Amino acid sequence: MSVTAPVVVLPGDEIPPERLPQSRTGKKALTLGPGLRHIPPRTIAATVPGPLGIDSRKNAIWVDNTSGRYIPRAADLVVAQVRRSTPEAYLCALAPHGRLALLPHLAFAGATRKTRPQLAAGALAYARVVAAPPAAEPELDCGADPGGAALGRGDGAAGLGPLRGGSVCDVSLGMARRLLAATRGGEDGLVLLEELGKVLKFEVAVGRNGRVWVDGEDTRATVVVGRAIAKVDEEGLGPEGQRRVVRELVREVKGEGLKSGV
Amino acid sequence: MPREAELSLNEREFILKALHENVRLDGRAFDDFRKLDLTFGDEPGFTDVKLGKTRVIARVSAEVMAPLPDRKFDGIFNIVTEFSPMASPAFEVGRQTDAEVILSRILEKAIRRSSALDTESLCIIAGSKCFQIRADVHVVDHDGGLIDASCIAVVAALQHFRRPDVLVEGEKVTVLSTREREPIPLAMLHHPLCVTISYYDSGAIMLVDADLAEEQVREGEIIVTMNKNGEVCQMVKYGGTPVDALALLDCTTLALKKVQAMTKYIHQKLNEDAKKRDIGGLMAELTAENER
Amino acid sequence: MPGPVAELGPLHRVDGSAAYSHAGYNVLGAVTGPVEAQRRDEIPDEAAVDVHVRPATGVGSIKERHLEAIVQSTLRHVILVHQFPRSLVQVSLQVLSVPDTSLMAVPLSSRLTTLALLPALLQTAMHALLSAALPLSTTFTSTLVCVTRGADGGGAIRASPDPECLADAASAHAVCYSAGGELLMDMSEGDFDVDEWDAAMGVGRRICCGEKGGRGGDAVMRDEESESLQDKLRKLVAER
Repeated sequence: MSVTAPVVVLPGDEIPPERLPQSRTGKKALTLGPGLRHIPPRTIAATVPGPLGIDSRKNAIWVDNTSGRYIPRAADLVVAQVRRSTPEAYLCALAPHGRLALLPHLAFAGATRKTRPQLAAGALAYARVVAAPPAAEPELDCGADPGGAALGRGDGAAGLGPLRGGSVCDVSLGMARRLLAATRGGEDGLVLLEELGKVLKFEVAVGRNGRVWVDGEDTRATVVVGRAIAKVDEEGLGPEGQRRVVRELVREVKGEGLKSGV
Repeated sequence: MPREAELSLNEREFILKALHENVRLDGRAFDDFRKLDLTFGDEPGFTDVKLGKTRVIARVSAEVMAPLPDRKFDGIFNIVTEFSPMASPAFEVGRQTDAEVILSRILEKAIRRSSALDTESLCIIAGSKCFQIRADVHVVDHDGGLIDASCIAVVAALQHFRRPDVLVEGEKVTVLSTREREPIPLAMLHHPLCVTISYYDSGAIMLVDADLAEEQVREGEIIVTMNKNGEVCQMVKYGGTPVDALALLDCTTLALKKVQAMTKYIHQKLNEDAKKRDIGGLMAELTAENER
Repeated sequence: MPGPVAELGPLHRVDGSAAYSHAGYNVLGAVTGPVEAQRRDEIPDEAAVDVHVRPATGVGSIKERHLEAIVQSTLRHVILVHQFPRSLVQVSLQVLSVPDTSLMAVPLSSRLTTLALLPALLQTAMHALLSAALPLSTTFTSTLVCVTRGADGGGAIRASPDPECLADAASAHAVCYSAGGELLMDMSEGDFDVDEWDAAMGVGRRICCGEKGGRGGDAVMRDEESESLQDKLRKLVAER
């Protein structure tokens, strides 16, 4: 089943029982991912448009949606932007005009009242969503929580915390997901970061909320990485197109460098 | 949602740092416009302008009205701008933002007060009947450079528009439909265009056509309106840090170059559109109007 | 008459957008949300849906407010508002052009022009919502149907009529059907009896949902020739 082209569903489409993943052992309960809802007693219907994803091993089924606004979910890694500070926590924006998320002052690795990082309005932090209740503010964490590693990502608290320098580019939610999968070594046809890494030195932090923080060895490197990611996202390029974008951008910037150097 | 989402500190610092190294984030030169795309609709007076990710739609319409009592020999010309949440979630319905007020004032001065449209030609019977020309500006996508894009849209739409002909018998005015009589283009005296120049470092760095992120970190802007003959219609600097007076002269030279290129582009697009409409050369035979 | 043409995501700043054109109606739609609602708009246990319609020329008037109210109440029952309490979904619809009626001998009544615009607005809103990937309970499609009466009193039903045909019609009906074939919205105008209304609904339903009127589990094996609006919607999303 996973070999055939994925079925595209529209909101309201019912998923017929034969399409649901069949757990061989029957031990695992069926996991419904984002984009699906259960209408008791036995109906499972899609709520967003997109291709249906199925993982028989984990007995999970979900709908990949690549567009729209970021809706916070527990365990997501996000690039948060500090809006203001309250006595207890920073209020951070995950998406423009969205509900602000709480990042407690003590939610940083090794933070105490005195040593906590001082973040001004507009500063960025790489954080994990701990809880996302629908009616209240989502809560973020930057690694102080010892249970962080237990959330099942395997990356522990590494990399979480304030992001200094560099710049941010906005991408679609689908692109953010692909980039995250690529940084974890997942195969998703995304060779962009790897290809860029061959010619440039840079660091990235990919937020599930569609924001990617990039810091290159110099200004040009940051610009190139940012533009390459934006271009691949907008044009939906495959591996070949991604290699071409990298070649073109690197050539363009090298040319400019020569010009201004003279 | 009254406020535009603010840039992060990282982005602010990075944009400025890059500008000091002669780099713009999208790879343009400092005096480059973004890609301009102008399309016309099926009906006359409908233009769709895309400037990078900014998109403005202008619609011109005409109506027969009584002229204003103090201007008996002139027609009426209005430009209406209203922002909607479609352009940016920061725009609220029914509440004017500063950007909206500034845009409508600038367009008013650039096009209406510079007499780009010959309002006298819109008069039908002095004191009792005239045409009211109305330009609706719909900003549908906002990524900076609204003033430049809106000005292009309105000026192009005015040139594209054809008003119906009228038949005057004594005091009686009959508007002739497009089937009865070929509609008439508007009489324009010149074609003013706006160029917004954003400056940084008290004028040491000057950018043409800044996008939204660049607009958010600029120290101030200078808006120059001129036509292709180099006649300056207005020059505006709403606050911001002081700049050297000589830098203003550089702005006008830069603006002239840009205005000439844009005028040429609009003209070329208008010609292409006219050719598309002109099936079998019928228009040339029917039209009685001379090019002004 | 050429079928409807739609494009998903032509705008950049909003969460979802669509351009829709059919039979001379061109509408641009945008969706932002769910975003933080202002205190005064906030509803404790569901998302507020805010619809804003803007005419091609001039500023909005009573007619637009009326259309807004109809679109809003239709959308509110399709969007899963309970998933996003205390937030706001903002839908903006910009009419770009409507069919030119200036050459007609008898201009359309304002009630008929209002009615004729409604299906285009609903279609645009649906496309924009799909582009924004906002959780919905179902999709819907909408169309315009009119009933013309011959000299002998026999009625004929016309789908997607042009303005001339609309002016001659005895009655006009703007209908909106969910993907499952349930009637979500009907706005009827003019002189008609129950049989005519029933027949008009049947035609509307067939245009919206296809012959079977119901939904199969998958998108394959459909009659290509009489492609319903619902099939078109599915195709557009699948292409993306």
